[in-house]
Formats: sequence, C-alpha cells, structure tokens
Amino acid sequence: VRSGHPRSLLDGADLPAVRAAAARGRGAFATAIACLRAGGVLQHDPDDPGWLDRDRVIDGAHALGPSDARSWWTSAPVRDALSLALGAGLSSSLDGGIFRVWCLLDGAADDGRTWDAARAAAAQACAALTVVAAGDPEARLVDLLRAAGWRTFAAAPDDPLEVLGAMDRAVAHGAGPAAVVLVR
Amino acid sequence: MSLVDALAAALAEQLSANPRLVVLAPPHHPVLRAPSAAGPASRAEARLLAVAGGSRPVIGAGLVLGGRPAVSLLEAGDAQAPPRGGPHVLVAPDGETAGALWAQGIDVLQPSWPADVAPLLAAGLTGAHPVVLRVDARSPAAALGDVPPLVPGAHRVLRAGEALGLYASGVGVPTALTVARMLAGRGVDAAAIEVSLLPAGRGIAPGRTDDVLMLGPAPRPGQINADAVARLRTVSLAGDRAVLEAVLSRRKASGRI
Repeated sequence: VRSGHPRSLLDGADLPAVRAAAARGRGAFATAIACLRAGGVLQHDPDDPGWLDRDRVIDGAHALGPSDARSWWTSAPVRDALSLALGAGLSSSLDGGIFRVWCLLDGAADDGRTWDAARAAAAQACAALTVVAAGDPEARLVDLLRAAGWRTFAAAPDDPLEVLGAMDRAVAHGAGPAAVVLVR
Repeated sequence: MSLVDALAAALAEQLSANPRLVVLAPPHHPVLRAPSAAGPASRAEARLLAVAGGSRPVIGAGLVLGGRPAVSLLEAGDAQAPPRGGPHVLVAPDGETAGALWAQGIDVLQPSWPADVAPLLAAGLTGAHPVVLRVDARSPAAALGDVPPLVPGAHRVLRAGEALGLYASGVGVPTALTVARMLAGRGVDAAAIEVSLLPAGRGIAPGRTDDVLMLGPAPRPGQINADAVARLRTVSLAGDRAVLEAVLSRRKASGRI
C-alpha cells in the first residue's frame, strides 16, 4: 500500500500509532521519526523499496539505527548530509516535486559544507527539501539555515501534534527549502 | 576547438539526448555560456545548474539518489570524493584534482583530443559508479592533427611504425605521438599507441596507464593487451625532447640505432 502526502499531514496521521512508535524510539528525533513512518507523512511503499517516487530520508544525525529497516533511509556523513539531500531534492523539483526529501540534522552539522548546501538550496528554491533539526541547543544550525534564506517552523520535540503541524507547514510552504526545528 | 569547447558541446548533446541528466557547474563556468545548442534551450538550461561551493560532487550523488544521472563540474582543488553510485561523471580541470580523486578509488578517464571528449563522457554516463573525466583547459594533442576515434576496450594506433613502439595513455599520449614523429625525422620508424581504454589486466597497477609513457617493441596485431603493457619499460615524461633523448639513449645502448 502506497501512502503519504495527504492534503494535510494532520488529516492522515494515526496519532496512537505515532505515540506508540515514539515511545519505542530514543533521542531528540524519536517523535519526528515516528511521525515520518507511522504518521503517514512519508510517501513510501514497503513492498517496493526501490520505487522511484518514494520520499528520501537522509540521516545526517545518526538518529536511525540498526533496528530501522535500511530500505527507507540513507545514512550520510554529518557534513555531507545536506548536500546529498539537496541533490535528491533538486531531482524531485525538476519533476515538479514528485517526492520529498527529509534530512535529519543536529548541531554537529554547523559546518562550511552545510552552509554551502544551505545557500545553494535557497538559491535553487528547492521546495522539495525539508530539514528536521534537533539536538541544536545553541541554535547555530537554525541560525545558519535562516541566514541562508530558509523558512523554519518550530515544534516541541516530544509532541506529535506539534511536530506534525510543523511538518505540515514546512511542506505547504512551497516557495523554497524549509526546516522543522525541534526545540523544548 | 579546445577540450573545454568539446566538453561544452558534449554536455549540450547529452542534455538534449537524455532528458533526465542534470549538470552542476560552478558559477561563471564556460559551459554555462553556451547551453542553447542543446535543442529546446529552456528545457536543457533548466538542467544546467550553477551551484557555488565545493559540495557539487555530493550534490551530484544526491541527484543520483533521486534517480537522475549527473555531471559535476569541479574547480581546481575540489577533491572530495562523492558517495558511490552512478551514473555520475566528475569533470576535473587538472591532474592534481583528478589524481586526488583517483587516490580515493575513483577511475579516471583522460581525453587527449577534443573528439575524445564526447565518447568518454557518454561512456562515463553508463557506469554504476562515479568516474572522473579529466579535461584540462589546454591540450597539446589538439595541435597534432586528427587521429582515429577511440574504441572502448581496444588500443588506438596514432602513428604506425616498424622499429619500436611508444605506448601511452592520459597526458602521455601527445608526448608519444610527438616523440614518434621526432624519431621518424631521425630515421627511427616509431609507432605511437594509445592504451587508455584497454581494460586493466593482471599485473598492471591501477591508474598506471593514466600518466605513464612506456617503451617497447613495435605493435603486432593481437599482442597489445593490458598484461603486455604492464611489462613495458617506463620512460621519463619530462618533456618531448627529454623523452626523445631517453629513447635514443636506450636504443644506442642496446645497439639498435
């Protein structure tokens, strides 16, 4: 069953499933990952992991572990994650945004390469790209994205409704790259 | 036509022929000036993107992850190897950049003549892994006249000769042809053979044939393969004249001049 990209992310969310998945997870990204997978946010097909139009998830924060099936996400070095995600996002944008690219980043991504990629994403108005940022207590990464021209949407990291709402606004933004910022 | 001109034409041709290809270039790169040769200009230009910074190889890898072949044009010193996966061609502007990527495990293709650029670019865009296409701004080969087309998997005879053979690939190719012609002027009928596209064989170090000029017997049909090339003697690449003197010195020492 292919799922994802409902009219509103909140409309299609299975909140009990999200809460259960978040409770099984660990770390600052647990609820966000639960929203992506169990909340119906991610456009994917478990029976066809190679589906070309699937959403891509680039994990630059080492938030996903061995227990997560590798068929739906790609690991990347922290400094390269946003560049990799931008490339996939550009590929989608050239097809009218046929799929979305989610990139998980934490404070360690505050780096020149991330800055280059952030500026390039804004210059290309890459609306198919959404960063989920957490573990960034000094907000340096968020400042970097804002300085590069990104829109940011804040949410409490443990509240599925807030996270889904921020993801919804980021997807609906549509005028360029956006970030969901998980802050307490 | 320079190698860079040939690259611009080859990219335009590929953009026109492959509607999914994306080319990433640094702002102000020469290829950004003439994309309109690629048929419907607006569609091709939409896939020729100016991206600043040194992350183009990784962005190109992301394009591949997104289901598109990619060409990433590098600037000198952009030696960050991208993740595996292709088709992805990294166009390096000099030997240092290409060598640094080769040291990280990426194969290097080296066009010597402008006419070599298009087939090597096309070959690179069929691979499952990134490859480097080294395109120097100036190529001494361009001044040496026309040569037969490249044939993947085979050698190319640039000049036939009976007395000895100069075997080369990469930057050594123009030297091989120049020195063979100089030897001919001195009465030594030397052959110049390019082995760039010979498949690597047992006993031949990876990358050896990218920058080395080798000396051996004149070619015989069916005898030029990677194993045979690996057994040839290496000569200096310190300029055409130095190579000429080295070859003549060895010939004199062996009593065959």
